This record gives sequence, structure tokens and C-alpha cells, in this order.
Amino acid sequence: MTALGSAVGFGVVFLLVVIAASALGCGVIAVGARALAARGPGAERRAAALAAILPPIAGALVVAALALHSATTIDHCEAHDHHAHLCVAHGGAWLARPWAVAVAAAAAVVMIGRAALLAVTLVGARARVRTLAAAAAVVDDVRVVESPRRFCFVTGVRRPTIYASTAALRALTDDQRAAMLAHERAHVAAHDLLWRRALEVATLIAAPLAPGFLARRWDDATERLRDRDAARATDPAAVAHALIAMCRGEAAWAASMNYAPPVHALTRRVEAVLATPEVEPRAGRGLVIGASALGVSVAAALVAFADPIHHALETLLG
Amino acid sequence: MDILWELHPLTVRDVKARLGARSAYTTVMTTLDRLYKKGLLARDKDGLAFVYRPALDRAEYQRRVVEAAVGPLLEQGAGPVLAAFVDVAAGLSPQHLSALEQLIAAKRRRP
Repeated sequence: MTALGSAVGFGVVFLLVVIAASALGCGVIAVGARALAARGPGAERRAAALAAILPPIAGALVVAALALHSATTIDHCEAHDHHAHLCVAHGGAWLARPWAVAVAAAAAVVMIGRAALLAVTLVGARARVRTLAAAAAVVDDVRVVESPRRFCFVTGVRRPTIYASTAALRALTDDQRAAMLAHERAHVAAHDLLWRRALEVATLIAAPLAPGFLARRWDDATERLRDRDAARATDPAAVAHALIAMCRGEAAWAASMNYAPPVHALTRRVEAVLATPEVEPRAGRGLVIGASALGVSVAAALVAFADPIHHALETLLG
Repeated sequence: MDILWELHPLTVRDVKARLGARSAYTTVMTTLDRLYKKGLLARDKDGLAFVYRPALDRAEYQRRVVEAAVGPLLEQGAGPVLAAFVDVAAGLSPQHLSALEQLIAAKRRRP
């Protein structure tokens, strides 16, 4: 019972840190959207990735520091028995607090629910991709599928594969087709789907709305980044024309579904690809260095101030 | 479906004979009945038995299978499953697409 109680106590702390940090990360990205956009899609992508990955790391750091503190210092529990202890030896009191048990259980349900939804999506998609693979003709590294809809995508984490429809290939000129395939090959080379899956897993227990917000930011920035890769490998105008040609086909579908698309999405991509710099600026690296420095500082502060933090959290929660 | 595309119309007994000893008569009958109810087969009464024929040719069937697979893949969004060159959510009006074409032309005129 003590172990379960300790798990509830530390679980609540982990949850609070992750939710607060992910909400803060999303807020910073939303407020600094203009500044990030000025630094390019690489910086936007790194910011979304950091906002997804740092909160669980921060939560784990805090829990590790508290657990280590309780295991290595003199037992302080006798000194203040008026509240529950974040302690590996005396955690049973958390089970007597219905709110703590309810919060920990709700977090577990949300995390399992998000994981189950992800698993269902992946299993369904895998079956559909197998169907496409069976119907496709292999041409070089592209699987060509006979279809009246214009599409081209890469799918698969371990063995990323490019699929393109005959309608898409027929609708594009040679240079546009080369640009589109260069875009998809850039996704394959950068292992984008693997990183995207990692982002999905990292946000399983993030603040409400944070997973969707960060995923959209990451997706948008990644597409513009790959557009730039394709523009450098081929021609910016060819990439932009290919995007428009592909959208002409899908516009008919959107109209038939009475769907009102976000007008700015394609415009932003076309404008970004036309402004492709010769070499991708490494501005986003500053974010990673800054975030790493922040992480080290937080870890050092946790170690240095473990005792007061420990008591403050116990008083706050207990 | 392969058997019926090659030769039709066939009764349940005919299909079973072509499948060999692999399947029981009732299994073949149930399967053909289900394919009929899904609209993949058509059937007519011939005496006491039904005779089955494909309702779609092989190419049309293949097209439907592909469409059924592609639709949800594209419409559920790129997400963790795939990275699409163009998201269906990016579909715009022809006027807006023409405006973008003009933007590219203008960019080409003043590099």
C-alpha cells in the first residue's frame, strides 16, 4: 500500500509538472509565433518538438530529485505528520486523499485513452496501406497507385515508402513531378514520421489541447521545411506549381464535401518556398541550446533546493 | 471473386468444385451470399439454385478497394501516419489558386 501511495503522490507531482510545462510551452509558442516564423520553419519545428519533449523530462527530473531526496536524507516524516509525504517509505497517506487518487486515475485514463486512439489509428492505417501496396506498381522508389484522386505521400516508420497516384503523376509536368518526389524523399531522408511518432508519444500526458496544437505546428513547419529541401534539389517555382496543381484536384473534393478550408495554409507554403534561402539558417539550434541550458539549470536547482521544494510541494498537495 | 471473374455465371456447387476440397458447401454458399449482399455479386434464380456473376469487373472492384483505403488515409490528416505532399485541408477555390499562380509569375519576373 505504501508503494501504491507513493506512486500516487509522485504521479500527481509528475502530472502537475508536465501539464504546467506543456501549457507554458504552448503559450510561449503561441505568443512568440511571429518571432519563430521569422527564424524559419526549422526553428518553428524545433520549438514544437521541445515543447512536446521537455515537459515529461522535467516531470521525471522533479520526481527523481524528490524520490532521491526522500531515500537518501534523514527521515523527515516524524517532523511534520500533518500532511501526506512525498516519500518512498511513507507514501500510504496519499491513498486516504480521494482527490489525489482521482487525479492520478484520471491522468492514467487520459494517457491510456490517447495511447489507445493512437494505436487504433496506426492499426487502421497499416491495413489500408497494405491494401494500397497490394494494388500498387513499383517504379523506382515510388509505389504508383491507379486512382482518380491526386495524392502523394510517404508512410511507414521503419521502411518509409512513397505512394503516388496516377492522377497526381499525370497532372504534373516533369519538373513539378520531380519537385513533388524530392519533397517526399526529403521526408524519408529526415525520418520525419519517426520523429512525428515520438512527438505523439511524448504528448500522451500533456495539457488538454496541447497535443493537437503542437502536432499542427510541427506538421506545418515540417512541410515547409521539406518544400525548401525540394526547392533546393529542383526549383522553387516547380515546387510551388506542383503544390497548386495538386490542390486543383483536391479543391474539387473539398467543394463536394462542402468543406471550407483554411485559406492561409497553401498560401503560406507557396510564399515560403518562393523565399527559399540558398542554405537553411541554423537559427533553430539556439532554441535547443537554450532549452538544454534551462534543463541543466532546473536539474541543478532541484538538487540544490530539494529539501525546501520537497516540503513546499508536500504542504501544497497534502 | 477470382473464380467468378474468370467464368460466370456459376452455382455454389460450381464454385465449390473449382475451390477443390478446401471449403465446405455451406461455407461457399454463405460467402457468396455475403458477397451478394455487399453488392459485389449479382445472382439469378435457376430452378432451385442461385447462379452468381460478378456485379463489378476486376478493374472497377480494384478501384473501389483503393478508394476505400485512400479516402480515410488522406482525410484523417497527415498526423503520425503519413506525410502528404498536399493536405486535403489545403484545398482552395480556383480563384485563390489562380492568385497564387500569379504570385509565382510575379516572383519569376523579379528574381
